[in-house]
Amino acid sequence: MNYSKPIHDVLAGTKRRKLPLSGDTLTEGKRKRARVTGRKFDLRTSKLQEIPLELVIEILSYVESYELLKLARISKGFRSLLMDRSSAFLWRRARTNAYSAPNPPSGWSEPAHAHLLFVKCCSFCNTRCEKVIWECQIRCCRKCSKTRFILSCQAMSKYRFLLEKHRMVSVVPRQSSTGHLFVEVLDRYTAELLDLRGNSEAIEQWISCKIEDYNNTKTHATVCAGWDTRRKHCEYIERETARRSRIEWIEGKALSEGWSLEIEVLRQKKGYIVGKLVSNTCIRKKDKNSLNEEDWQKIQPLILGSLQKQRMVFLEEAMTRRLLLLQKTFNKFRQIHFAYHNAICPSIGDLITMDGPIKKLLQTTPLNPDAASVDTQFCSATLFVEIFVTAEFAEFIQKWRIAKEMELFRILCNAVHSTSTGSDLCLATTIFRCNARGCGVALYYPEIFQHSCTTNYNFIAESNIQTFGQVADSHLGSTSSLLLVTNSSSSEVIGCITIGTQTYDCLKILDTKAWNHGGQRICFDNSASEIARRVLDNDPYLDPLTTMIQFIKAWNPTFCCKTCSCSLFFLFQFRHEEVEMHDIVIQWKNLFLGRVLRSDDLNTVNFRSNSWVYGSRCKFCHELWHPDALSVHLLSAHSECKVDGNWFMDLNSRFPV
Amino acid sequence: MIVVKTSDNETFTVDREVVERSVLIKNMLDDIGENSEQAIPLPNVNSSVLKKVLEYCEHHRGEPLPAADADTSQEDTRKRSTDISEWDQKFITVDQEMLFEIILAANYLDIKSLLDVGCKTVANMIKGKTPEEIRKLFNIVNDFTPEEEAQIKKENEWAEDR
Repeated sequence: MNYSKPIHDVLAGTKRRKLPLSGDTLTEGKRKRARVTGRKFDLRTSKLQEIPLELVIEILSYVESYELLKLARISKGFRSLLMDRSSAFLWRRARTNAYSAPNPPSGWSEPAHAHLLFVKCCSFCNTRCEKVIWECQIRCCRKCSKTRFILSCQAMSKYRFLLEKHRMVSVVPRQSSTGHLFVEVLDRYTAELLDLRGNSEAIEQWISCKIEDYNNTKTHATVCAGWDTRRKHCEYIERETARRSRIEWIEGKALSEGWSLEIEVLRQKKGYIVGKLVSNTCIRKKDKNSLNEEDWQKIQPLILGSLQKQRMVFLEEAMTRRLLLLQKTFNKFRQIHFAYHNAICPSIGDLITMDGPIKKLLQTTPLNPDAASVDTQFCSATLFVEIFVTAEFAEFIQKWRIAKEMELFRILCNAVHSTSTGSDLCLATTIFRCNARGCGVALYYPEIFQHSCTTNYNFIAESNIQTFGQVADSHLGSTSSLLLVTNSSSSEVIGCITIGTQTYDCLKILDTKAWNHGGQRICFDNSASEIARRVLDNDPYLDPLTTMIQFIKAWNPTFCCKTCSCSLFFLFQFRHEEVEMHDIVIQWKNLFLGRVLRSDDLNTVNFRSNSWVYGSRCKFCHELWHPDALSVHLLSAHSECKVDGNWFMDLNSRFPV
Repeated sequence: MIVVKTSDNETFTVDREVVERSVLIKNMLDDIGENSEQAIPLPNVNSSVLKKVLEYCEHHRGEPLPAADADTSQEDTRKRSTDISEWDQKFITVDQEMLFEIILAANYLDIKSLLDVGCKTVANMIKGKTPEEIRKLFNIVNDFTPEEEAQIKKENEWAEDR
């Protein structure tokens, strides 16, 4: 027969010879033909139909017994090929491939034995079953074992004839774990023995035959159990090796695409590059095949997604390092060039958000995710020489100052009068207020540019700033709100810098904002302005329309603690530098108050132009009150009568006496 | 240099060392002598397949050829590994039609190592798959009736013994 012909042509022939199993199968002159019986193997419907039978056999010589069992179920053609006794050589070859599986016991066919060894189904009910009882040559599930096996003591009474009279108990297959006897064999042996009743010679022969059978079965069972253990161990090792090599292959692919830094860190952190990877079907698949490009395409999004995430972390860290470097250098520059002259200087938030040399540098300098790399463009020396001392930067500061003064001026115009002029910013009655949480400080121009709250921003603590402001407003009126949010969040300055495809919120990284936070930090303090106007009106020498704050500062009036003055019945006066040390216990309950005032009801108070009291802030609602009015507020709103120390004294909020 | 002619009349000029990985061609060359400038006809191989085969031969140029009288008895008792080297695996990652064409060509040209790679690849394709998956993979029609299918699950004896 010509085995080189297509299989359907070959199958049309009548005589077949057995093919050898060796790799030398196909070499000229050495070719031994395999006998594949005279049956017709119709594989026309398969993709393999153009392949000569010798090649089909060559392919099948690489598979294991379990695959042959499956192939014998795919079509009639394959079944007739594989379930033919002449194909036993293929099954033997397949057993060798399956970790040298043991030979079938006598009376067993190769496929039936392969089924016992590899198909994990109960021999009785066909449900999934891992457990093999080698001695009985069956797989038996827990449910079936209840009926298929019998306790030794029960068997002794039920099969007395077999077990006691003929002492066969030791040669009946049993479950090794429980010692229960196999009912099927007990029944068969009993029937066989009953057939031989009366023929003692035949019985003796039968018994010795069964003993021999049992010994052979037991020996085979030991071999099978040993093979099974070895196979499971080898399979585990091979599976793990295959998985490891797949992961290494994937890492190699990722490395070749430039993810070395991320892979190294993920390996150090977790031991693998993607947590989900170890449970991925591509990795966990039971066959030992390596991955290919198709697998890579499937798994790539998962891998690269994780690596991309890690890269983003690196880039974010690199940006943080860069910004901290910038901040440190800029602070140093500010100390050198601005501190002594009390000059106005933009904050780091302004440098980042406003178009200028720093923003441009941030946007155009690519980030290096490697933490060990040096960010040369943002080194202290480079920044000083190439940015801070340049004319471009001086011009930027000038531009910033003009823009911010305009912003302040707009706030003034909106609050007071649209006809205000630029010089009105310097009036003693032009008082702004910081709306930062817990601040509320009254501020004059130009110190307002140096007030730290106008640029510092705690992103976490202030996340609910709008809500807090709204509650205060609705409850206490807009003028008494600590957080007077005058502008909508739409005007907020976003400090995002985009490098490549990634955007970094630089302001958030540094916990800072541009000055006035896009109009959300500073508002005009109508109340303080009104008080100042009254104070100046009451003073015969000062005109509220022309008096500058610089003049008041130069005059340096005496300060008077109204609270202490009330309790001690004389004016308790001190200078500015003593204010911070002023700490007393105020017993509101015992304090005689001739009058009770609210901060917005100060018309009844007689002002002394050279005396001031500090406003007191309620520790519960943080509202700012005149010291005289705080006691009533505490009692009525919070049922509190004792307040300790000057923690409650707002040293920055001055009220006229 | 050796000239080979494919079934679609395309000629390839190849190094003797490369083309001699085919035992068939090697024997032919030995027969016709060294100085012959005649193209070697390969009527069972088309140009696209021969191109792949020559790519394989070129890559494995200089590697020792398997001995013609290698001892086969030892190999019979050893497990046949289906491991394929990385390059070979990449090389054999082709569509199924081309895969079988390569196997046929390797068989015809008697290039044992290439034939092994092809057969191992098909064997690996079979491994770990259910009968239904194998059918689908090789486009095999299930010609069993449902009753027959249920029956064959229980039957594992030789056909002659049933």
